[in-house]
Amino acid sequence: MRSTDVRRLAALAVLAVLVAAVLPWVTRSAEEKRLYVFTPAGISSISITDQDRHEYIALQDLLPNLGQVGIRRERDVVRLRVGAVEGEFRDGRNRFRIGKMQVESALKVRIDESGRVLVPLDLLPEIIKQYTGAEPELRLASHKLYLRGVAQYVSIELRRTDPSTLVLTFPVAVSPNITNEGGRVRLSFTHEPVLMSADRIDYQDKLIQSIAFSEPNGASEITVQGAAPLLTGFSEGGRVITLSAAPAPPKIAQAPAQPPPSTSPIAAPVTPGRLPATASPGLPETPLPVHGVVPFFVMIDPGHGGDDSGARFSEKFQEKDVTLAIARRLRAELQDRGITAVLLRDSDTTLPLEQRAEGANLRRAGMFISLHAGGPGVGVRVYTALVPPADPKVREQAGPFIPWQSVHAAFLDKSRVLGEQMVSELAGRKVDAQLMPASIAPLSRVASPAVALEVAPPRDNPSLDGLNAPAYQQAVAQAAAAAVVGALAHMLEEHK
Amino acid sequence: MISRQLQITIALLLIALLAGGVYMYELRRRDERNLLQSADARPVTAPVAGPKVPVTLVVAFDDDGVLMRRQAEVALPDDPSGRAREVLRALLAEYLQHPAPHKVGEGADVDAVYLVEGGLCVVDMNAKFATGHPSGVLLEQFTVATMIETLAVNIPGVRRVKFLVEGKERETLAGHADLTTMYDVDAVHQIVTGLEKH
Repeated sequence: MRSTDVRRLAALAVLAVLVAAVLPWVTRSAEEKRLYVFTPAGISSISITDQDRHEYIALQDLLPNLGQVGIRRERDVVRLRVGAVEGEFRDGRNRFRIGKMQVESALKVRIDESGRVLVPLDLLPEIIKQYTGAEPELRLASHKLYLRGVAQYVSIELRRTDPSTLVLTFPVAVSPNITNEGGRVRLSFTHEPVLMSADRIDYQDKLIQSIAFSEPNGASEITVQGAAPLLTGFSEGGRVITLSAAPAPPKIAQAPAQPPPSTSPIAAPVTPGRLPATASPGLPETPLPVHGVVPFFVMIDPGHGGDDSGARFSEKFQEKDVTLAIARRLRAELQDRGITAVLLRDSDTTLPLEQRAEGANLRRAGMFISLHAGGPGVGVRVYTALVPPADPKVREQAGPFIPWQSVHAAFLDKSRVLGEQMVSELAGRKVDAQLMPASIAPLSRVASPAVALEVAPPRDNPSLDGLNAPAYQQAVAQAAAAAVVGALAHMLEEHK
Repeated sequence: MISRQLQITIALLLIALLAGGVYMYELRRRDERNLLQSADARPVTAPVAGPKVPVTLVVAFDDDGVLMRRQAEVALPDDPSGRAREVLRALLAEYLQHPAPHKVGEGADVDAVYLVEGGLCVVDMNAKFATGHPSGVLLEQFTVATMIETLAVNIPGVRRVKFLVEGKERETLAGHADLTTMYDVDAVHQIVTGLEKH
């Protein structure tokens, strides 16, 4: 064997080792990919699939973020309607139609066996623009999609005083996690759709050296590098963050003139009927009236979704699907009774528990109904929140605030009224029902009357078929809708 | 000189060999993990030291949807934290039987119990307690409520209970029961009373 052959073989062997080493990692990372969708209601995430080495998503997962979705399938054609605009998609074609507009694509549209329309990720801005008329912001590298102008660009100003201060101004109040490591301050935004127009800015300054932007794991991160320790301050209701030189530490012999201010984790005001002030990122800084000028509507929370399947009844039958089916029926039943109802999720998307409470609170929902499904037993269990009583010591220290987890305490009586109405309406439809308190997330964080329903199979058919029976789900939805009407009438009567 | 075809064949063989090796390695690791998990799933046992004393366990019965009190003899150590841990382990042992009146995650165990001044009891559970727990509002409520009530009945002075999993706060037990909260023993007692069958 000649030396050139040996070298070739060695090179091939190295290549093979690299392929073998990288292959499992590539496969694994492909499984974990998700698109984070930011809307005014919160964040959800959608699964990304790889097709022909390109990233695709299912339109059925995305479109509910744009409005009411209608789906029709005829052989190889799937028609997806959002509001009045209908799109027509065919499997394996490079062009499709949305409204009157033909959209060309370098990559083919796919339709899978279950009728899901898979489109390349980079086509999303064009698709959303055709459906809504508004162009979203898509960050391909970080897998983030910002809808309806929610992206919040930070404006940066370096004030060259002595020493300098760096002023970050945001369009709305923000509440980042702050990590301070010597001269480096990291502001991590896990909920807010924060963006910076440049990835990095370097300063010729004695104190502030640079500011950089990154987007790790769906979050946004701003890192400020200083030559000396930096102090972070908030002003203008959380819209402005100022980074300045930290004061020199006191000498050991000197006692501090004032004890340091206590940092309490509490976040919501005590006054009943008010929302938490800065409990969670994204919430407005000033308290909002719950039943102010916002028209009454019911927020329906179909439990679980996306990565969180909830209880797995069988290989293909999961709690997240049952809750969504009942939620859609309940929405229709409420609308039939003239009551507006909004679903926190209308597709198979992941929605964190905190986001669910925030979504309801931000929109100032009049009532909140969380839906769950599963055993043991039969019928429907109606739960009200088990809100922990506030610790008097904590309350005293907290001043006008109460713990975020006790936000619901002021609404507990009304929740019980709603729960009792639910049990009564269910019993009237010959569905077994019982009312009890439970510490179930996210009820205790909801700033409105709220209950959770756990739907188990009916007594006359205690099986998965029984749980999935349309007639049974419809009966539960009708009872819940009638209970909302009853509870509302009761509350209005009390108000008089 | 080696022909081009032979070079390609050798390269392909090498790739196949390496890919096979990686796959075998992954399989072996998976087997090891499974073996460790099954070994850890053994029911917990009471400590050998300490006299056996009667304790009251509040046990959930999923099929009937009720809670019942049961008497058991458990060897308890002298220190209150250790006693609390063993009482909870005795309850978990009920739930880890086959068949069990109520199920928890296979291999569920109490890592530690801390009794803090002011009636606070911090219960630190292992990961399998949460990862293997059946999902459901009532199922999770049964676990949490019976653990708290069992603690309250056997360890005087416990007013509030906080659950940790592997030393860290966890959002929910298995998607429903809130573990970020500090449970008030009196409030839980009300729930237990409502579900109890005498």
